[in-house]
Amino acid sequence: MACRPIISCTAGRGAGRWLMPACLVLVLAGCQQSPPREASTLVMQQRVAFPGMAPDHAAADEGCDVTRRLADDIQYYARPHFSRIAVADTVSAKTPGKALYVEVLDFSGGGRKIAVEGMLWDNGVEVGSFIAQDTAWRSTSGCMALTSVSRVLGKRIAHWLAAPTRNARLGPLR
Amino acid sequence: MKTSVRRGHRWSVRCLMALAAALTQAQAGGGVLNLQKAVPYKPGIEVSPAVRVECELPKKLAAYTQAAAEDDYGTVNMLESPVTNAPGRTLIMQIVGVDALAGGNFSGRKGVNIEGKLWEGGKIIGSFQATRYSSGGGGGFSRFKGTCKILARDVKTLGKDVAEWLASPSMNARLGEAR
Repeated sequence: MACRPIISCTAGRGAGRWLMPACLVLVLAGCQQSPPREASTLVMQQRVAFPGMAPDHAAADEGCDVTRRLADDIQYYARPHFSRIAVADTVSAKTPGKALYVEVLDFSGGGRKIAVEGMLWDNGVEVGSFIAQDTAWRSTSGCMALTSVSRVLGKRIAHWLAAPTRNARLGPLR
Repeated sequence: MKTSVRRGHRWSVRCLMALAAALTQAQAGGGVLNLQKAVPYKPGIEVSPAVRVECELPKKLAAYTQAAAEDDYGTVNMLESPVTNAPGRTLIMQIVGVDALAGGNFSGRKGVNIEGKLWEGGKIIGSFQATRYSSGGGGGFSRFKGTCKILARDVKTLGKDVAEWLASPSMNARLGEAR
Protein backbone atom coordinates (compact mmCIF):
# COMPACT_ATOMS: atom_id res chain seq x y z
CA MET A 1 0.00 0.00 0.00
CA ALA A 2 1.63 3.25 -1.08
CA CYS A 3 0.34 6.38 0.61
CA ARG A 4 0.38 9.71 -1.13
CA PRO A 5 -1.08 12.43 1.06
CA ILE A 6 -3.30 14.52 -1.15
CA ILE A 7 -3.62 17.42 1.26
CA SER A 8 -1.49 18.96 3.98
CA CYS A 9 -3.36 19.44 7.23
CA THR A 10 -3.00 22.34 9.64
CA ALA A 11 -5.43 22.62 12.50
CA GLY A 12 -7.34 25.87 12.60
CA ARG A 13 -7.62 27.75 15.87
CA GLY A 14 -11.21 27.02 16.67
CA ALA A 15 -12.19 24.22 14.40
CA GLY A 16 -9.28 21.90 15.23
CA ARG A 17 -11.63 19.38 16.80
CA TRP A 18 -13.40 18.78 13.48
CA LEU A 19 -10.57 19.55 11.08
CA MET A 20 -8.18 16.81 12.24
CA PRO A 21 -10.51 13.81 11.68
CA ALA A 22 -11.58 15.31 8.34
CA CYS A 23 -7.95 15.71 7.33
CA LEU A 24 -7.18 12.14 8.37
CA VAL A 25 -9.95 10.91 6.09
CA LEU A 26 -8.57 13.01 3.22
CA VAL A 27 -5.02 11.77 3.79
CA LEU A 28 -6.19 8.17 3.87
CA ALA A 29 -8.10 8.80 0.66
CA GLY A 30 -4.72 9.51 -0.90
CA CYS A 31 -3.52 5.99 -0.03
CA GLN A 32 -3.81 3.92 -3.14
CA GLN A 33 -3.16 0.29 -3.78
CA SER A 34 0.17 -0.05 -5.64
CA PRO A 35 -0.11 -1.46 -9.18
CA PRO A 36 -0.20 -5.28 -8.97
CA ARG A 37 3.23 -6.86 -9.16
CA GLU A 38 3.80 -10.40 -10.22
CA ALA A 39 4.95 -11.91 -6.94
CA SER A 40 7.92 -13.66 -8.45
CA THR A 41 11.63 -13.43 -8.84
CA LEU A 42 13.29 -12.99 -12.20
CA VAL A 43 16.83 -14.25 -12.66
CA MET A 44 18.82 -12.63 -15.42
CA GLN A 45 22.42 -12.21 -16.52
CA GLN A 46 24.66 -9.59 -14.98
CA ARG A 47 25.86 -8.91 -18.55
CA VAL A 48 23.95 -9.99 -21.62
CA ALA A 49 25.74 -12.57 -23.79
CA PHE A 50 27.64 -11.40 -26.86
CA PRO A 51 28.91 -14.56 -28.56
CA GLY A 52 29.92 -12.96 -31.85
CA MET A 53 31.98 -10.18 -30.29
CA ALA A 54 34.62 -9.01 -32.80
CA PRO A 55 37.73 -7.01 -31.75
CA ASP A 56 36.11 -3.65 -32.66
CA HIS A 57 33.02 -4.68 -30.69
CA ALA A 58 35.28 -5.46 -27.75
CA ALA A 59 36.64 -1.90 -27.88
CA ALA A 60 33.09 -0.51 -27.84
CA ASP A 61 32.22 -2.85 -25.00
CA GLU A 62 35.19 -1.64 -22.99
CA GLY A 63 34.41 2.04 -23.51
CA CYS A 64 30.62 1.99 -23.49
CA ASP A 65 30.04 -1.21 -21.51
CA VAL A 66 27.28 -2.43 -23.84
CA THR A 67 26.73 -5.86 -22.27
CA ARG A 68 26.37 -4.51 -18.72
CA ARG A 69 24.35 -1.49 -19.87
CA LEU A 70 21.78 -3.63 -21.67
CA ALA A 71 21.37 -5.92 -18.65
CA ASP A 72 21.03 -2.86 -16.36
CA ASP A 73 18.40 -1.25 -18.58
CA ILE A 74 16.29 -4.42 -18.76
CA GLN A 75 16.54 -4.75 -14.97
CA TYR A 76 15.66 -1.10 -14.36
CA TYR A 77 12.55 -1.07 -16.53
CA ALA A 78 11.42 -4.59 -15.47
CA ARG A 79 11.43 -3.69 -11.75
CA PRO A 80 7.70 -2.86 -11.58
CA HIS A 81 6.78 -6.31 -12.92
CA PHE A 82 8.66 -8.45 -10.39
CA SER A 83 9.01 -8.45 -6.65
CA ARG A 84 12.74 -9.17 -7.01
CA ILE A 85 15.28 -9.32 -9.83
CA ALA A 86 18.33 -11.45 -9.14
CA VAL A 87 21.45 -11.42 -11.28
CA ALA A 88 23.65 -14.39 -12.13
CA ASP A 89 26.78 -14.84 -14.23
CA THR A 90 24.99 -17.29 -16.50
CA VAL A 91 21.35 -18.15 -17.07
CA SER A 92 19.98 -21.25 -18.81
CA ALA A 93 16.93 -23.52 -18.93
CA LYS A 94 18.35 -25.22 -15.83
CA THR A 95 18.07 -22.02 -13.76
CA PRO A 96 15.28 -22.50 -11.20
CA GLY A 97 12.29 -20.14 -11.31
CA LYS A 98 11.80 -17.50 -13.98
CA ALA A 99 14.98 -16.99 -15.94
CA LEU A 100 15.71 -14.55 -18.76
CA TYR A 101 18.57 -15.08 -21.19
CA VAL A 102 19.48 -12.25 -23.60
CA GLU A 103 22.06 -12.37 -26.35
CA VAL A 104 23.36 -9.71 -28.77
CA LEU A 105 22.75 -10.76 -32.39
CA ASP A 106 23.86 -7.66 -34.27
CA PHE A 107 25.97 -4.74 -33.14
CA SER A 108 26.95 -2.22 -35.78
CA GLY A 109 27.94 1.43 -36.16
CA GLY A 110 29.62 1.41 -32.75
CA GLY A 111 26.30 0.69 -31.08
CA ARG A 112 24.03 2.80 -33.31
CA LYS A 113 22.22 -0.40 -34.31
CA ILE A 114 21.71 -3.25 -31.86
CA ALA A 115 19.63 -6.40 -32.28
CA VAL A 116 19.11 -8.88 -29.45
CA GLU A 117 17.22 -12.09 -28.89
CA GLY A 118 16.02 -13.55 -25.64
CA MET A 119 14.32 -16.48 -24.00
CA LEU A 120 12.27 -16.71 -20.85
CA TRP A 121 12.02 -19.96 -18.92
CA ASP A 122 9.79 -20.80 -16.00
CA ASN A 123 11.34 -23.72 -14.11
CA GLY A 124 12.94 -25.02 -17.29
CA VAL A 125 9.85 -24.61 -19.51
CA GLU A 126 10.17 -22.03 -22.28
CA VAL A 127 7.35 -19.53 -21.79
CA GLY A 128 8.51 -16.80 -24.15
CA SER A 129 11.06 -15.69 -26.72
CA PHE A 130 11.73 -12.47 -28.62
CA ILE A 131 13.88 -10.61 -31.08
CA ALA A 132 14.30 -6.86 -30.58
CA GLN A 133 16.14 -4.22 -32.54
CA ASP A 134 16.65 -0.47 -32.45
CA THR A 135 18.73 2.09 -34.32
CA ALA A 136 19.84 5.56 -33.24
CA TRP A 137 19.64 7.86 -36.23
CA ARG A 138 21.28 10.97 -34.84
CA SER A 139 24.22 10.91 -32.54
CA THR A 140 27.85 11.86 -32.89
CA SER A 141 29.14 9.71 -30.09
CA GLY A 142 28.98 5.94 -30.19
CA CYS A 143 28.45 5.69 -26.44
CA MET A 144 25.54 8.15 -26.43
CA ALA A 145 23.92 6.34 -29.37
CA LEU A 146 24.43 3.02 -27.65
CA THR A 147 23.00 4.37 -24.40
CA SER A 148 19.80 5.53 -26.07
CA VAL A 149 19.41 2.29 -28.09
CA SER A 150 20.02 0.24 -24.95
CA ARG A 151 17.33 2.18 -23.04
CA VAL A 152 14.80 1.68 -25.83
CA LEU A 153 15.55 -2.07 -25.94
CA GLY A 154 15.40 -2.26 -22.14
CA LYS A 155 11.95 -0.63 -22.12
CA ARG A 156 10.61 -2.90 -24.89
CA ILE A 157 11.92 -6.08 -23.27
CA ALA A 158 10.59 -5.03 -19.85
CA HIS A 159 7.18 -4.32 -21.39
CA TRP A 160 7.22 -7.76 -23.04
CA LEU A 161 8.18 -9.37 -19.70
CA ALA A 162 4.87 -8.17 -18.25
CA ALA A 163 3.03 -10.49 -20.71
CA PRO A 164 5.58 -12.69 -22.48
CA THR A 165 4.74 -14.51 -25.70
CA ARG A 166 6.68 -16.84 -27.94
CA ASN A 167 8.50 -15.56 -31.05
CA ALA A 168 7.68 -11.94 -30.28
CA ARG A 169 9.17 -9.23 -32.43
CA LEU A 170 9.81 -6.04 -30.52
CA GLY A 171 10.32 -2.72 -32.23
CA PRO A 172 10.84 -2.05 -35.96
CA LEU A 173 11.31 -5.75 -36.73
CA ARG A 174 7.56 -6.33 -36.43
CA MET B 1 -6.29 28.97 28.72
CA LYS B 2 -6.41 29.78 24.99
CA THR B 3 -2.96 31.46 25.22
CA SER B 4 -1.38 28.40 26.85
CA VAL B 5 -2.86 26.10 24.14
CA ARG B 6 -1.49 28.41 21.44
CA ARG B 7 1.94 28.47 23.17
CA GLY B 8 1.93 24.68 23.39
CA HIS B 9 1.04 24.43 19.71
CA ARG B 10 3.90 26.80 18.84
CA TRP B 11 6.36 24.68 20.87
CA SER B 12 5.27 21.44 19.23
CA VAL B 13 5.75 23.02 15.79
CA ARG B 14 9.25 24.13 16.83
CA CYS B 15 10.04 20.64 18.13
CA LEU B 16 8.88 19.09 14.84
CA MET B 17 11.00 21.55 12.84
CA ALA B 18 14.07 20.76 14.97
CA LEU B 19 13.46 17.02 14.51
CA ALA B 20 13.12 17.45 10.74
CA ALA B 21 16.36 19.48 10.64
CA ALA B 22 18.16 16.82 12.67
CA LEU B 23 16.90 14.08 10.33
CA THR B 24 17.98 16.03 7.25
CA GLN B 25 21.42 16.54 8.79
CA ALA B 26 21.68 12.82 9.54
CA GLN B 27 20.61 11.97 5.96
CA ALA B 28 23.30 14.22 4.58
CA GLY B 29 25.98 12.00 6.15
CA GLY B 30 27.12 14.39 8.86
CA GLY B 31 27.26 17.24 6.42
CA VAL B 32 30.60 16.44 4.73
CA LEU B 33 30.73 15.68 1.02
CA ASN B 34 33.92 15.04 -0.94
CA LEU B 35 33.84 15.74 -4.66
CA GLN B 36 36.37 15.57 -7.47
CA LYS B 37 37.85 18.88 -8.61
CA ALA B 38 37.30 17.70 -12.17
CA VAL B 39 35.02 14.84 -13.22
CA PRO B 40 37.04 12.72 -15.67
CA TYR B 41 35.92 11.30 -19.00
CA LYS B 42 35.63 7.53 -18.92
CA PRO B 43 38.67 6.11 -20.74
CA GLY B 44 37.86 4.87 -24.23
CA ILE B 45 34.80 7.02 -24.92
CA GLU B 46 34.47 9.06 -28.10
CA VAL B 47 34.67 12.81 -27.39
CA SER B 48 35.80 15.28 -30.05
CA PRO B 49 39.18 16.93 -29.34
CA ALA B 50 37.57 20.40 -29.63
CA VAL B 51 35.08 19.57 -26.86
CA ARG B 52 37.81 18.07 -24.68
CA VAL B 53 40.09 21.09 -25.05
CA GLU B 54 37.64 24.01 -25.15
CA CYS B 55 34.52 23.10 -23.16
CA GLU B 56 36.07 22.22 -19.77
CA LEU B 57 33.15 19.93 -18.95
CA PRO B 58 35.03 18.04 -16.19
CA LYS B 59 35.63 21.24 -14.18
CA LYS B 60 32.20 22.72 -14.89
CA LEU B 61 30.35 19.57 -13.84
CA ALA B 62 32.30 19.46 -10.57
CA ALA B 63 31.68 23.16 -9.88
CA TYR B 64 27.94 23.02 -10.66
CA THR B 65 27.53 19.92 -8.48
CA GLN B 66 29.37 21.66 -5.65
CA ALA B 67 27.23 24.77 -5.92
CA ALA B 68 24.00 22.77 -5.91
CA ALA B 69 25.09 20.34 -3.15
CA GLU B 70 26.05 23.09 -0.71
CA ASP B 71 22.38 23.49 0.25
CA ASP B 72 22.30 19.98 1.75
CA TYR B 73 25.87 19.52 2.95
CA GLY B 74 27.56 21.83 5.42
CA THR B 75 31.02 21.17 3.98
CA VAL B 76 31.77 20.30 0.37
CA ASN B 77 35.45 19.47 -0.19
CA MET B 78 36.79 19.67 -3.72
CA LEU B 79 39.67 17.18 -3.93
CA GLU B 80 42.14 16.23 -6.65
CA SER B 81 41.51 12.50 -6.18
CA PRO B 82 39.16 11.77 -3.28
CA VAL B 83 39.45 8.42 -1.49
CA THR B 84 36.41 6.26 -0.91
CA ASN B 85 36.95 5.89 2.84
CA ALA B 86 37.44 9.58 3.60
CA PRO B 87 35.38 11.05 6.48
CA GLY B 88 31.83 11.90 5.38
CA ARG B 89 30.55 10.93 1.97
CA THR B 90 32.54 10.74 -1.25
CA LEU B 91 30.99 11.01 -4.68
CA ILE B 92 33.01 9.61 -7.58
CA MET B 93 31.59 10.55 -10.97
CA GLN B 94 32.69 10.09 -14.57
CA ILE B 95 31.49 11.42 -17.89
CA VAL B 96 30.52 8.36 -19.94
CA GLY B 97 29.17 10.01 -23.09
CA VAL B 98 29.07 13.34 -24.90
CA ASP B 99 26.86 13.91 -27.92
CA ALA B 100 28.03 17.15 -29.49
CA LEU B 101 28.13 17.74 -33.20
CA ALA B 102 30.07 20.94 -34.02
CA GLY B 103 28.03 23.97 -35.11
CA GLY B 104 26.31 25.15 -31.95
CA ASN B 105 22.53 25.28 -31.96
CA PHE B 106 22.42 24.92 -35.77
CA SER B 107 23.49 21.27 -35.53
CA GLY B 108 20.85 20.09 -33.07
CA ARG B 109 20.73 19.03 -29.46
CA LYS B 110 23.85 18.32 -27.43
CA GLY B 111 23.87 15.80 -24.61
CA VAL B 112 26.02 14.60 -21.73
CA ASN B 113 25.75 11.27 -19.94
CA ILE B 114 27.35 10.70 -16.52
CA GLU B 115 27.56 7.96 -13.90
CA GLY B 116 28.40 8.19 -10.23
CA LYS B 117 28.85 6.19 -7.06
CA LEU B 118 28.46 7.54 -3.54
CA TRP B 119 30.74 6.08 -0.89
CA GLU B 120 30.55 6.24 2.89
CA GLY B 121 33.04 4.47 5.15
CA GLY B 122 34.47 2.52 2.21
CA LYS B 123 31.06 1.18 1.13
CA ILE B 124 28.88 2.16 -1.82
CA ILE B 125 25.64 3.62 -0.50
CA GLY B 126 24.24 4.91 -3.78
CA SER B 127 24.75 4.93 -7.54
CA PHE B 128 23.20 6.70 -10.50
CA GLN B 129 23.35 7.37 -14.19
CA ALA B 130 22.14 10.69 -15.56
CA THR B 131 21.61 12.21 -18.99
CA ARG B 132 20.72 15.71 -20.08
CA TYR B 133 20.21 17.12 -23.56
CA SER B 134 19.81 20.76 -24.53
CA SER B 135 19.39 22.70 -27.74
CA GLY B 136 20.48 25.97 -26.21
CA GLY B 137 17.13 27.25 -24.99
CA GLY B 138 15.36 30.48 -25.82
CA GLY B 139 13.28 29.23 -28.77
CA GLY B 140 13.93 29.57 -32.50
CA PHE B 141 14.76 33.28 -32.45
CA SER B 142 17.42 33.11 -29.74
CA ARG B 143 20.87 34.25 -30.66
CA PHE B 144 23.48 31.71 -31.73
CA LYS B 145 24.91 29.60 -28.94
CA GLY B 146 28.15 27.68 -29.34
CA THR B 147 28.56 23.95 -28.67
CA CYS B 148 30.39 24.55 -25.37
CA LYS B 149 27.69 26.90 -24.11
CA ILE B 150 25.00 24.32 -24.83
CA LEU B 151 27.02 21.55 -23.17
CA ALA B 152 27.52 23.86 -20.17
CA ARG B 153 23.71 24.05 -19.83
CA ASP B 154 23.63 20.25 -19.76
CA VAL B 155 26.23 19.95 -17.02
CA LYS B 156 24.58 22.72 -14.99
CA THR B 157 21.31 20.78 -15.01
CA LEU B 158 23.18 17.56 -14.28
CA GLY B 159 24.80 19.24 -11.27
CA LYS B 160 21.34 20.10 -9.94
CA ASP B 161 20.06 16.56 -10.66
CA VAL B 162 22.98 15.04 -8.78
CA ALA B 163 22.57 17.42 -5.82
CA GLU B 164 18.87 16.56 -5.60
CA TRP B 165 19.74 12.84 -5.60
CA LEU B 166 22.45 13.45 -2.96
CA ALA B 167 19.75 14.65 -0.55
CA SER B 168 18.40 11.07 -0.43
CA PRO B 169 20.67 8.78 -2.44
CA SER B 170 19.58 5.35 -3.70
CA MET B 171 21.15 2.49 -5.65
CA ASN B 172 20.88 2.32 -9.46
CA ALA B 173 19.01 5.62 -9.72
CA ARG B 174 18.27 7.22 -13.08
CA LEU B 175 18.33 10.99 -13.20
CA GLY B 176 17.17 13.54 -15.76
CA GLU B 177 16.52 12.05 -19.19
CA ALA B 178 18.02 8.70 -18.17
CA ARG B 179 14.70 7.71 -16.61
